[in-house]
Amino acid sequence: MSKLIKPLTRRQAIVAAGASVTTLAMPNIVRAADPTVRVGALLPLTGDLAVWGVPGKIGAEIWAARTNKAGGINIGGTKHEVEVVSFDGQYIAEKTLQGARSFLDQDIKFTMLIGGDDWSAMQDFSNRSKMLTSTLYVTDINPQGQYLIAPVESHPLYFGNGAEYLRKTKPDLKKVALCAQDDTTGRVACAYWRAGFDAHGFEIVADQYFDAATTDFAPVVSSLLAGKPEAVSLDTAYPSFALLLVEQLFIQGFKGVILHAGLELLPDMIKQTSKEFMEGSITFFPRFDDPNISKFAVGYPDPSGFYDEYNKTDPGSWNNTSWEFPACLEVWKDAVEKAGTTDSDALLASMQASAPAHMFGKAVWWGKDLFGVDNALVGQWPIVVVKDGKVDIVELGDQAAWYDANRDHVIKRFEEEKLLPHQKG
Amino acid sequence: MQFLIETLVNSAMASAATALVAVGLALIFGIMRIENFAHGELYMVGAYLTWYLSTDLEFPYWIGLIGAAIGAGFIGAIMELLLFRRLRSNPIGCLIITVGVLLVLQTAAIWLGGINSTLLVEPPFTGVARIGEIAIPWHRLFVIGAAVIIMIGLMAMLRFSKFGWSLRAVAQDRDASLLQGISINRASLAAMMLSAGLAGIAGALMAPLVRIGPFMGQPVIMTAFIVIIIGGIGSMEGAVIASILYATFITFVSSYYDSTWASIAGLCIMLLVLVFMPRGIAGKVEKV
Amino acid sequence: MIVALIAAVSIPSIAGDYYISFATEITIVILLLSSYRIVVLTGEWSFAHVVLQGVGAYTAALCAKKLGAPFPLSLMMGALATASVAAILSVPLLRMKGFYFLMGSFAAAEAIRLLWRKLQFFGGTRGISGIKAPYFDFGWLTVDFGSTANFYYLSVSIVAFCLFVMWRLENSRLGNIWRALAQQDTLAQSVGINTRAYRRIAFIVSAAFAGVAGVLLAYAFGTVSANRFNLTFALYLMIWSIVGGVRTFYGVILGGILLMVFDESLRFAEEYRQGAYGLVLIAIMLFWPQGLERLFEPIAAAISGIKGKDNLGPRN
Repeated sequence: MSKLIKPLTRRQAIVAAGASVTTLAMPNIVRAADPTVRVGALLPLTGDLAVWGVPGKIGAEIWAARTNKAGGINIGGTKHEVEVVSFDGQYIAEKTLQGARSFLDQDIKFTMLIGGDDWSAMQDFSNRSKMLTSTLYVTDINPQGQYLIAPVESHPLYFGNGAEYLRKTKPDLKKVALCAQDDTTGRVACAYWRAGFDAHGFEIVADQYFDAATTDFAPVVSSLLAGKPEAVSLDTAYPSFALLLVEQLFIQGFKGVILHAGLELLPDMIKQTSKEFMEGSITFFPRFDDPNISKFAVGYPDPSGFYDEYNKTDPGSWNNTSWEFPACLEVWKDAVEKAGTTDSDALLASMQASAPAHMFGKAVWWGKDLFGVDNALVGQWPIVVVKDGKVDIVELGDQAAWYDANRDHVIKRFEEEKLLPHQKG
Repeated sequence: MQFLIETLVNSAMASAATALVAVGLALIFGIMRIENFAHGELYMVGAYLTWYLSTDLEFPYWIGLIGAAIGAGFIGAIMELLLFRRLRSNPIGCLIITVGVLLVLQTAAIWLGGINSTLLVEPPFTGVARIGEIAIPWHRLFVIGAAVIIMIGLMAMLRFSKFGWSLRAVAQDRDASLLQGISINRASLAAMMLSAGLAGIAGALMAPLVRIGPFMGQPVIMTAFIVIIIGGIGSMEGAVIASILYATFITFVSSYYDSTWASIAGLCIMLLVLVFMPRGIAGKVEKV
Repeated sequence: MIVALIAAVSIPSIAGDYYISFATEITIVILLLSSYRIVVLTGEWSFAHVVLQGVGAYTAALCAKKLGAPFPLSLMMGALATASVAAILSVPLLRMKGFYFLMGSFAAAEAIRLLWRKLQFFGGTRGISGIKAPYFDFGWLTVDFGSTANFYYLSVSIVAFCLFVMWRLENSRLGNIWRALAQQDTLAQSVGINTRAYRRIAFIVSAAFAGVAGVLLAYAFGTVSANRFNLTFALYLMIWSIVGGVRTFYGVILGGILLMVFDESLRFAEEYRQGAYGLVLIAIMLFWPQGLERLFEPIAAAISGIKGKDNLGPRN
């Protein structure tokens, strides 16, 4: 109940009341005098992918509240409060574009997307209206998208380090298999894993995409296991798919290593399989109650405090997007305070001149070779391994260095999936 | 060889899951001429109720199963009494109503269980049956067996009981059955409760195997619609046979080739059936 | 009519970008609904219409991206391609009627949609993006339709023109035959009308306009993806028409505008929006099963009475 009442107090409620015209006619001067700066979460809040959008929105709101409590954002000497405005883009290109337009009307300084399908319609508009936008999909970055940055997550780049780590810890492992749902997320991840497997001498024995409407994963897993793989990549199957896939792997007697970017539902996976079965699975997202988290996530203020507050606000909904959007905001805040402005051009120039602090330490602007433009903030990324039912960070991998060493494999696999800049439709 | 046997077992599982949902949809279409788009959501309600009773309240699974059948059947009764009954001669209006019900039930599920829910249901039979290299969870075998028993029971009831006879009479010819003194209202209410109850049972049976979520009914209902067309609209026997054929076909094509192409081929088969055998495998002639 | 046009034209001067863009979407939906109504006139409900719009959108996207075609050419190609696809689909589909036609149209449409997702030629699951908005340069005058307001005017004019053509069609001999088909198929047949040929014409003409709506959609948002044309949208199209009412020309338009605005105004409810929408659908079907046009009929009758013409009044 309380969840419903909260949004009612916000601006959208005014629209519902039919007072939209008055709001729109409100002169910009009134807004400028406001000591608040608005940022936008343009995420799917309904439909299947609300699984990512809703926790992201909640995380961003908690970040804003914590930031305001800690003194707000210092822009050119004046303290500003930060306010998160959200819009349900439904992960549909057109709706996202409409959301972007509404953000422009509301003078939003920084827009956050999940990335992938939602970015495609926004690019032209973002260029025209100089709308600084962040994505979690580094593959969205392209030379035409002048105002798009990938400040936090560098999916799928960390898979290269993952393959390297697998080779290092399991020198005799040969056969691998991979699968994902048939969409951009899945194809990008599979392409990078394939490159990683090529680079480190693994043999791919099964490789398939399944339809996003799949309900029974027994057939998918049967075909995966037909070639007797010793490691299986499920990247990047959505969390609920990954749970069902893991369950099937367990039932059908798989005995090797499981690879998956998030393992978001690890507790459930353990419940459905066993602690021993999940032991040694390789993943790439740390838990925020890891006692070492603040040692690794140096660019994130008080991660465990944030985690606790989140769980108090909305217990049970925490997942990786809960901290990734706040991490995007953290990068933006850092840049804004350094540049002393929220103006997109000035901010971009200042960011390019000195890279802001990244979640996991030192990072550089990267991407020219693979995406045609250096708009991704890429640095270290953790490799996380399941130990005794919990994920522990085992090391930080240098993603750019891995790419430089194995560039040709990546180019070849990206070309197959038509993911290179000149191939994109 | 092992892969072939696994795929056969998977086909049996998929057939059972499809038939459990499709048969209720066929029943309701046969008797009321309503395309119930909310049927998938009744299946969802069944899964949620099973979770609530067996996981949250920690009753045995069987209570959950019975609760799911009763709960979904109750919603079906409400749909018939409050909604469909008022729009008896307006099938398109009923269709829109079912979409409305679909949206309401989905939202209710989001409200109660959260959008990011991971609800797990413990199956009544845990563990795995091992035959050589092949491992089949007992619960899957249980679902296949339960589906077979339910289908046989349903067919027997429709053929041999007076109640079944009146339902079939309404499905075949409304006007004639009216003249026979059969109450369309009573038959519709019974059919709706039966159909919704079946959807609830399907949800309860599948709950330990699939992801329980607000949108779990969507892919299921699509398949069910395709199946009732191939089976012959309104025919429950046809729906069962078509479920087996269609699910086996899709499972084999997606295991050996590709799941999207499997779906495309399935749709083309449905189109061919509509053009060349509009009565379906077992359907009767539609009165125009 | 004129009032509506004036109201439509004045939107950009009072509203922000977001609302203009929303208004553009509404104009496109109006075109889609009105073209859908042509099929409905012949007595059939179809699930394929949204995918036919998609054919127009994909054609425009491919023309623009692969051939660099200018907007008018894409527009024509989109309408033509959609009409051709409809002509092919009509061969199997028009052998069916009623519920069979509805499900047949679903099968055909969904198969086409899955092909878009599967084939790299159509951009796969990602679709095709980066369709540049039209830009006219006449030397003395340059118009950039990338601006939201300009594109809105463009789509209002195209849609208004299409609506005019459809309205004329409906009030011609052809329109009367279509209506006759819906009511008395056998009677029409017995007086020597080749019913299937006329149903085919209706299906193809309606598809051509859906294609235009698709082209507008592709250019308005610069992107086309298969998910936009799934069964959910086909259902919504049907819902909008029924809620508005299909007997009159303005009924479907009314339904589209009201329900889209209503849905949009529920945004504040976020993830609970759909439920409220569902409740309203149920209520409308229970209390106004003939569609909202019934409520507006007295007004419409009064207006046409003043004009002395019976343009808008009910016909059946």
